[in-house]
Amino acid sequence: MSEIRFFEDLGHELRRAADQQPERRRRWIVSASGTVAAASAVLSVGIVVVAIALLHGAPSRRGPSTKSTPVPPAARQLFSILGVLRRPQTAADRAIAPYAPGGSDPALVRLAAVTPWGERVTLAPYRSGTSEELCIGLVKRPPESPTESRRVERLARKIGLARARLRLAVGSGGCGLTAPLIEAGKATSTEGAGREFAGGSTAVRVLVVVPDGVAKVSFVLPRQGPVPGGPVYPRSQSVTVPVHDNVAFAQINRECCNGSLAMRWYAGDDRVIKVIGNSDASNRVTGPKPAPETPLSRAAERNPSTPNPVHVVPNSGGPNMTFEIQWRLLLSDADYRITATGPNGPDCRDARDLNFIVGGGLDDVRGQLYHVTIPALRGQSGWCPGTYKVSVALYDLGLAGGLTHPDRPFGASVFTVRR
Amino acid sequence: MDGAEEFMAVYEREREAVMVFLVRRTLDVPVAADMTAETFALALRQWGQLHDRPDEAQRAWLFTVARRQLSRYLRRMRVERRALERLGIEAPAVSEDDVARIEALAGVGELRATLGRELARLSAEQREAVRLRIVEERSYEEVARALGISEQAARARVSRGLRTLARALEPHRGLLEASR
Repeated sequence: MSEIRFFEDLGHELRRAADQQPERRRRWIVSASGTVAAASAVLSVGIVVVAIALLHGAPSRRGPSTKSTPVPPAARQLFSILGVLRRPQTAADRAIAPYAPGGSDPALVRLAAVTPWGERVTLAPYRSGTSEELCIGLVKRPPESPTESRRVERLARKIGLARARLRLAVGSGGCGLTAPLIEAGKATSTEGAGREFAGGSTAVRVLVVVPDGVAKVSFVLPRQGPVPGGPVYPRSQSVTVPVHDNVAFAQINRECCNGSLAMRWYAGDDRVIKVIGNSDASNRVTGPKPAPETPLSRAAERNPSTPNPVHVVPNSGGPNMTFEIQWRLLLSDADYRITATGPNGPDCRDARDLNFIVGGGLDDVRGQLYHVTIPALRGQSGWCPGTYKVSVALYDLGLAGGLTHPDRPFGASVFTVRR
Repeated sequence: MDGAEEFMAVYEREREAVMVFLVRRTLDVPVAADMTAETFALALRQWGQLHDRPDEAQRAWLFTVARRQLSRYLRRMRVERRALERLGIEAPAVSEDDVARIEALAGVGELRATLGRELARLSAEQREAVRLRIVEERSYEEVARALGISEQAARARVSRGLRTLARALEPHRGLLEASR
């Protein structure tokens, strides 16, 4: 669509602005090094070389290797999105490496975090066929001393288990994570940590591995209806935690994630850079279920004018009284028209103010007591004195059917405003 | 390839998609063009954080900005130009020919016709309430006063009208989402 002149003109303007930003261009180069300490444009190439060298078991503390063995694209992806893997290996990393799950090269294992509940979060890349994958290891006990390590070795031989299998018994975690899965927010771990009930727990520990650039993570825990023996959460809850070494985690005192975990990822400047799962849906309260059908509700479905008692509470009061109109809903998701007759006056709230449509809410289901509050408005002298008759009629059947209005009222009530 | 070249490559790659996304949601090419310009001006200002991300992430960033522009526009009926002003960019005018080409590109003719048809199908009460609230962007209190009804009733009327319109536009969701 090069014939669209606007695009060409805007392109020229943007190009001019970009060319006039030499300082900004320098910043681009600096930021190209990501979380690696040395800031040079060449280093971004170096990162890949280091990654390649690490994956092939080259010495990791000596910096970039000149060896240029081809690696599968997935390997480059993993190292390019996780700064924690690119940093030099520390003594703590080396101490935890024997506990890392999977068949990873110990030189590649990194201790990303120690959670407040004492789990050591290890990230261990390994090769699987032609692709590179990551294990999240949640090691629950401190690293073995050399003596203990020998004891584990002996125990493993004695009970006929491979040492790697025995190591896994002291922790948990998940493997098979590729770079696209991590970027899609699938590298998560959830674990119950409270009172157990019907397949759930009243507290949860959540953890996620995130790519570079994510500074904070909001875990969004969905609302939850009644579960046998479990608590009810009428609203969703968000818990925001910082990211360190590509890992974010939290312990939250509620049941979580009976399905996928919803998250929002934030950049350092608080921009939302990714929304995972439908956090809006999890925040939506769908309201109560309709009560069972009754002869009256079935009659109302056939004829919306079927009589149904309407009350005004209180039925009398002064000019500044707040009145409430109430009735028991016979239909779900319907709208109602309220009309009134009574006194009229130029300087007070009168019967004309009682002519409106209500309903359509998610909670407006069969069996609920519906109530509409009608306050005396501020800035006016209140209700006009006299007796009002309020009528309620079905206006619209909502999603269940088409427009039905006008309809005859199904109920009416009176209230009196005293001087 | 230096930073400017990389940025221009992204501009060339994404400009039509961003424009189409905004046109289909505003049905107003000049407004969408201003928002497109502001979106790319913001991208240029933030290029330091954007340039080394994968194509999909850059695209997601652009659409997030576009969506925010749209939401601000719908709240204030005014396109922001902060990034354009800071960069000293004057958003180019959109010619009549461009409007026609962009509308064809976005396929808005059908959408506009459907919307007009469905608006006409609303009850007079709902149509007026939707017009006051959405087109004139008046507060619910003002809508209520203009229609001589309570604020609660005004909210219900607007909500019901929008729900009806949403149902009518449901078959066009594919067209709306096609720009993403």
